[in-house]
Amino acid sequence: MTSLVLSLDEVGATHANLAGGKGANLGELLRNGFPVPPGFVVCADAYARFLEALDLGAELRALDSAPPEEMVERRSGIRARLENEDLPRELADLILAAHGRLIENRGRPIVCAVRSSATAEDLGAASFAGQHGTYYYVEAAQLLQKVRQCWGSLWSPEAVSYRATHGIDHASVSMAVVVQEMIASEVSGVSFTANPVSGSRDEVIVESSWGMGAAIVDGRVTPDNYVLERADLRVRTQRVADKRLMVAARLEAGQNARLEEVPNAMRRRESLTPDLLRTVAQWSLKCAAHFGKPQDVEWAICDGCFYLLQSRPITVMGREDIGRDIKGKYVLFKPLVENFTDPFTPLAGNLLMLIPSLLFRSIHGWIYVDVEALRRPLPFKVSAESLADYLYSISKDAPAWKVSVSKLPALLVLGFMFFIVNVVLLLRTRNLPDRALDSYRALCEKIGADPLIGPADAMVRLLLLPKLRDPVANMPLLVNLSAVRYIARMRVLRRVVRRWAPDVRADAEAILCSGSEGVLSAEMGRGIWALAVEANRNARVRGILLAQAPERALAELRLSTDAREFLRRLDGFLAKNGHRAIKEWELRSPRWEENPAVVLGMIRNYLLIEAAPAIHEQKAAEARAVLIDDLRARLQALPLERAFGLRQRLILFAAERVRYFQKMRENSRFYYIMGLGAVRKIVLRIEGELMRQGKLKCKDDIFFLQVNELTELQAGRLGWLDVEDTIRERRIEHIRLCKMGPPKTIGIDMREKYAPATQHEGTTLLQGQPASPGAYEGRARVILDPSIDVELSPGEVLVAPYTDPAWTPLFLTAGAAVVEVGSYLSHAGTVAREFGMPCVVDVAEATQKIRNGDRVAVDGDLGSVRILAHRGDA
Amino acid sequence: MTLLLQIAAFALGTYLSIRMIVALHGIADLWFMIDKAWPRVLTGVFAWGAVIGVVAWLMDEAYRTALAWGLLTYLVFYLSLLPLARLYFASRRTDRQSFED
Repeated sequence: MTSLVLSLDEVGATHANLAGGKGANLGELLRNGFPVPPGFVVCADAYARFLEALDLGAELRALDSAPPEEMVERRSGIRARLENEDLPRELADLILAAHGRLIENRGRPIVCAVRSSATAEDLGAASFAGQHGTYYYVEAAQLLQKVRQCWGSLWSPEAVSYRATHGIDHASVSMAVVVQEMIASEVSGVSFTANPVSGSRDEVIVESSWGMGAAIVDGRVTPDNYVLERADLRVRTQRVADKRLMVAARLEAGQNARLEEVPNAMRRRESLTPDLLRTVAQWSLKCAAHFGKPQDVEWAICDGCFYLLQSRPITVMGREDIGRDIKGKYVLFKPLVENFTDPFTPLAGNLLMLIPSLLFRSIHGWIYVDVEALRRPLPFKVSAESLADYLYSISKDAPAWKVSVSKLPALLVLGFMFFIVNVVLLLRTRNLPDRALDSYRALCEKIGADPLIGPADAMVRLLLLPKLRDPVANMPLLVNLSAVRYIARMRVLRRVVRRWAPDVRADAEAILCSGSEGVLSAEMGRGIWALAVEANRNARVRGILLAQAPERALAELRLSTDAREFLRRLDGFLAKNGHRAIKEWELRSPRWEENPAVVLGMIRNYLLIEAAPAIHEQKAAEARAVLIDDLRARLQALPLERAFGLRQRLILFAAERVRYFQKMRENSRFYYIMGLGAVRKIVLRIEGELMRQGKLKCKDDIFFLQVNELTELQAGRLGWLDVEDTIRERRIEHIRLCKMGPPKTIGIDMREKYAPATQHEGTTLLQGQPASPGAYEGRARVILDPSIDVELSPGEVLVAPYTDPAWTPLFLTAGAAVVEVGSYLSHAGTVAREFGMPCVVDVAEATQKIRNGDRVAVDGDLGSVRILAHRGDA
Repeated sequence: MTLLLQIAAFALGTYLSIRMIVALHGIADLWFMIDKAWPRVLTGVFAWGAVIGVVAWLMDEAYRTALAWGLLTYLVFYLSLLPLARLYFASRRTDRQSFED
């Protein structure tokens, strides 16, 4: 071998200039006995030789001083020549000979992975993530072309722009190419020898799924997740995901797409046995020990053997680093984040922020409120920190801010303008019937089915600005905006109740305003309950639902003649509520009408419990009646009350107004989501067309494009090769951000409201915001996704990262609820109060600090959660 | 005094214009159940129409003109809101900006 092509075991950590960062790293591991698949490196010198043969040296040197308008043309020219012109004969022969030896040593035909390994990859902060080409399943016939394409990827628009931004000389970068046998893995995954989110070095994180690892790295599947103690590799927590898709290692005859459905029986099965899990963790720790720092390891299992595909240092970007380069002061928009904490995918975020707002900004896919823009016109002496704290907490109590007299005139003008513009809306929405938005459904169906309407136009027409012929189109938005009046009405109610009956129970206002009559999400809950009652009537249906995983149960029910009535009712339910979904604000989330198995999971949950939801509603109604009697008795002592009862009437009227506006707010959301469902249909239709044309290769990729990129793809001005790397990079970034979670504030150093977890008399105390009164002690059940972890035994304490209406059935089973985000007015608090169970929200990292089976005491009055005993200690 | 009364008449005209627009909106808002809601909708439209008519009839010419200006001003203002909003939103839509930008 020459220094143009070297076997992997000939290079080591000191050969990064020759073999690139990746090649040197893999060689180092192979030399030291790690089970790295065999391969060879086409060295950086070979790239230099090729440039020389093409006589491109002078052109590259001139590139740094090229005027910007000529850059695109020059870059494209260099890339085209690198990708299309033949390699020098001698170099081509060396590469093919190395490939031949690789096949000969394996004694059977193999396919290879061809991966870029740039020599500049180790340049300080420059990561070059996802910019350079990687090609899988490469056979001998395509090998030389793929090597040239790797070199060409150094001149992709992203790579050139990245180098320009980071001040890296174009002529200084070079690239080696690693050619390695591809492992036809049954299971693959990634592991981290330190927690990449929290930075904890006591944990090893392993993520695994069926088939090849590309699907995990790209975020196309949610993998099984294991958290192990580093010291003894004991499993601390494990979460078996619903693994719907896998990248097949081998193609069957006639098959041309590698991404395939996982067979039903395997979807919820653990992808790693305890022995394999231990093997993966041990090899990962050996990598960390070898390199002397925490590693991010890609691995594969084939025929029960472990293979190490890549090991690189973990680049931990903490939550506090998000938005560091952004000027201004921002706080998370709580009403959205309390319903799901993931960032929006680029397409969803782009569509939601189609019209840039003065008050909102999308930062890494999370929606933030611009605190300064809001603070400026407010007539109060309030700091950005206090305002951010208030916006994030959304407390039921009014803030005690001093009025700023100098700002009053400007505010009066603004207030008058707001009033003049919105007065018609405020009057229109004072007394709408419950079904006021029914015609919106027909409009959604019309727009969703119109092939001439794109997602952006649909979004505007359904959620923002109506056509004259569709006046109902922006009613959900208008109703939602006008329903904010419930906050002021609630303050009035609170004031009059506390003035005239100061000693009445602390949660009197909440009880007075309870009642779910006409609330569509509550009716949805009742609909699921009615389906459970129907399933209970039929032993066969009940048996299938309880014995099978939801997807399998649905398939069996469709085959069973006994289930016809149940399925007819299910279809009726879906016709009304099928637009809903878990994480329903996210366009990428499949709707229930696409995947009814989620609803079956909820029905199954209802089948496991004895109590009907009506009992909770009855309890709430009784509590309300008792409270009204109590109030009446207290008010009787006040002047003239016995004769006219004016105070009581005023209190009940204020409560009725709060209930009405809360109902309208909740119902408007039901229709918002319906509008998003229609937009999703349009996006899926476009996705189907683009996949047929080969412009997109994989389902869901479309959600990682921006709206204007989508338009360009449709128009043919962009193709798959132009967006492939971008999609991949955005997917990886999205997963990373999902794991990290959003910072509450950007540019504001907001003091933590609640003390961190403290130890007291052998118990751990977590603090949060009280959302529903009462005290409860029970066993904890941590649920991260209600579509997967649907089983919650009666009386268990639900511990969740967030909640939305899809979680409601779990509240029926739970004894209490603890939620990581939320506020008094969030879904969790509202439902818990409705069901009369204690609830504490805004408990930081509750799903990590509390483990399944821990015994916990929840105090909904104080907002505290005490871990009394860990599972196993109890 | 006359000027003050004319201003009051103008304000009253504005208020009545708002109520009339709200009553007319009822037709669109309740269209899906108009078979049941038509008495409520028509009552609103005719009641506010009648109030406008009666108030105008009771007023002197000078104040009636101010009332009419109040009615008309808010109506024109309200009708201009939608096209203005359209123009504003159309100018700010990010998806219509060039991809090269």
